[in-house]
Amino acid sequence: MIKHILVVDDEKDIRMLFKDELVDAGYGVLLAESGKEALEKLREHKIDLLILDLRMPDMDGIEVLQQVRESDKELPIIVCTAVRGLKDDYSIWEGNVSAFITKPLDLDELRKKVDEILAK
Amino acid sequence: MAGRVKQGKGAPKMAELSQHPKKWRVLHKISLAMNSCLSSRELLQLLVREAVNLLKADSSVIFLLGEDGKTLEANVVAGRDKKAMKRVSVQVGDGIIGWVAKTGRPQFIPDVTKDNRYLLVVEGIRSEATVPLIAGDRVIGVLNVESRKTKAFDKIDLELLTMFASQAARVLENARVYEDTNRRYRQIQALYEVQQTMVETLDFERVLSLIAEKVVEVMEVKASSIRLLDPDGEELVIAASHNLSRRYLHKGRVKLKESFIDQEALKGNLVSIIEVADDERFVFREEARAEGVHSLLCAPLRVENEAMGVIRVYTDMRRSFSDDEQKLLSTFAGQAALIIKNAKLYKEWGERGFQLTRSQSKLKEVREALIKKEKLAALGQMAARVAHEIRNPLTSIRGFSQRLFRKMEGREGQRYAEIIIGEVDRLNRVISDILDFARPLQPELKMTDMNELMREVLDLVEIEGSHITLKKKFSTNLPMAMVDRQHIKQALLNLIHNGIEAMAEGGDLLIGTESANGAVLVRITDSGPGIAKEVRGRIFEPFFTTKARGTGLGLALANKIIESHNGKIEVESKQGRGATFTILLPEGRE
Repeated sequence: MIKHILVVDDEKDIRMLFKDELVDAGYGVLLAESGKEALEKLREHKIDLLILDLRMPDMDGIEVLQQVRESDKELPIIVCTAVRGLKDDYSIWEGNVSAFITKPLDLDELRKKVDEILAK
Repeated sequence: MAGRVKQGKGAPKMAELSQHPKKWRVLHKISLAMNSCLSSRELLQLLVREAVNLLKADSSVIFLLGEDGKTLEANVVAGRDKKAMKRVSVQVGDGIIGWVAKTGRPQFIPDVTKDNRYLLVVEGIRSEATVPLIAGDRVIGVLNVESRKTKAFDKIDLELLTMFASQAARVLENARVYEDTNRRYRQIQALYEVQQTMVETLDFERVLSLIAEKVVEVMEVKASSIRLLDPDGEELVIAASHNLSRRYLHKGRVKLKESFIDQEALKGNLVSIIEVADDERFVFREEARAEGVHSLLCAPLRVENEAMGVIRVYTDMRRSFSDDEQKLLSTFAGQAALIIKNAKLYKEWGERGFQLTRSQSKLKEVREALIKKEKLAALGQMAARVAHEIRNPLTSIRGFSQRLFRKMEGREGQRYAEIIIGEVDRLNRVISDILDFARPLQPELKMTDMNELMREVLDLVEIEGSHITLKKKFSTNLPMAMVDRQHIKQALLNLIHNGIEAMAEGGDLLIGTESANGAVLVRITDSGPGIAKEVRGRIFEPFFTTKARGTGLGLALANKIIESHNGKIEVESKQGRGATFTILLPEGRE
């Protein structure tokens, strides 16, 4: 059965990049351009993996993460950010995030991580 | 010693002279010449020439009494081999010349062969007339005329010669006064120059060395030194010198209580030594001999009753210093002391001023550091924002290029895509460097074995195929250091990469650890081209780089990390001979 990934990023081109890449990799891809939209789509669809940008105009990734975790403790989440070192700086990630990807990302690495997480 | 003059004996009467109009004309000519602008030497030459003419003599010589008051030396000559005569000297009391100098009485000898006082200097002289040159009441020399004929001169000639002699003495006296005035003028001029320099430069050392130079000029000696009392008053230290070799100046030090000369001088006395190499009072006799200095005159540098030091002058030949010279040095030293004291005051004031400037610049430093910190905080925020704004498009560029790369398999476009990916990664490294540098450091300190950490760092360094030889020299007895391992690793890596990048053609990279005075030292030495002096002070500035491909943040970050550990990085480099970065980290205490 095909696995579905929700990609949340405020930039259209990046959403498109993820979509093309992950579709090529054999996944179903849904896109959200804001935190609000992301939460809606999570309610409406069965999502197997969330790829979350941390910096968005309406609410930041951390807020989205917290709200998601209130209802879903199991959903795997990949945090995708342009800022380095966040992994070490906050304890909030502990147990909540499956992987970190820093922008600009390497598509091969993305595939590898996604495959690993969804193969479990 | 030359005698005092007994006036009047055997003086001819004017009436006798008046019978010789030609002689009057000559005397008139001479008195005109005396008021002309001829030099004293020219006047004396004119006098001896006219004496030969007028008295129909064969030759004439002026002998002058030397400074010792014992020797008469031929000074001006007419009608004889001048060069040969110049070397002739006669002792006071010897021969007719010596007799006249001693007694101050004119003599004419009709036949020298019949006078047992006569000393043969030149063959063929049969008669001569000799008169003393008198200045004040002292004999200063002798005027002599000679003839190959016997009975060539009479009493009248002797009187004429006496008049010539009085003119010659006048010339000599004028010359002496002139020389004296000139010397005094030179002295004033020299002191004025020193004072002028002091006012212009306020430079204590330069004032001292100028005094040392000028005293040599004024005293007409070989060399000089100025020695000033040290603050404890136990030693005189050479503060300036002129014409003394470095070797002589570093001959060693003497405590004041061991130096008789300095003690005497500081009491306010002049000390004169004719031959320092033979004088027990002089400590460095052998050194003085090697230096070629002979006579010494030492004068105190005193202002009122405060003794500051001494000034010494050295000659390059053995001689005594005349009263005039002693007085001259004394005066000069007195003036010099005043100038030195003023210069010293200026210097002290200057230093206080300097301290003030320094504390001001410290304030400025702190203020600048604050501004820098604020700037960095702002930079941190800005960098994060810029990074975000740049990294997002880079994400698209890199991602789509990567997809293109895959789709271009086997086609030319694949290479282009590869280039784009490479350049995106490069841009991204620049942003990473900026972010790393801008991020405030909060080191987590742990007791660390720097040798072990260094080994970990070296595992990350790739030098294969670069013609670089890595040499390690780790201290076996290295204390632990309190460091943030990750941060220090980063700093060391940056420094090592900097060294490797400096050796594009290959070379030696020397890594060493050491302990020194409560610090743990890590040295990184490359054999690259070195760091030019002009840029050495700037290499830790953010964004400063001399490389074509560099952000200029590697060393800046390394420095920032080391400073956040209360350590520092020192740089030594000679252009063309590599560079050494020494990282000093405080020793760790549990």
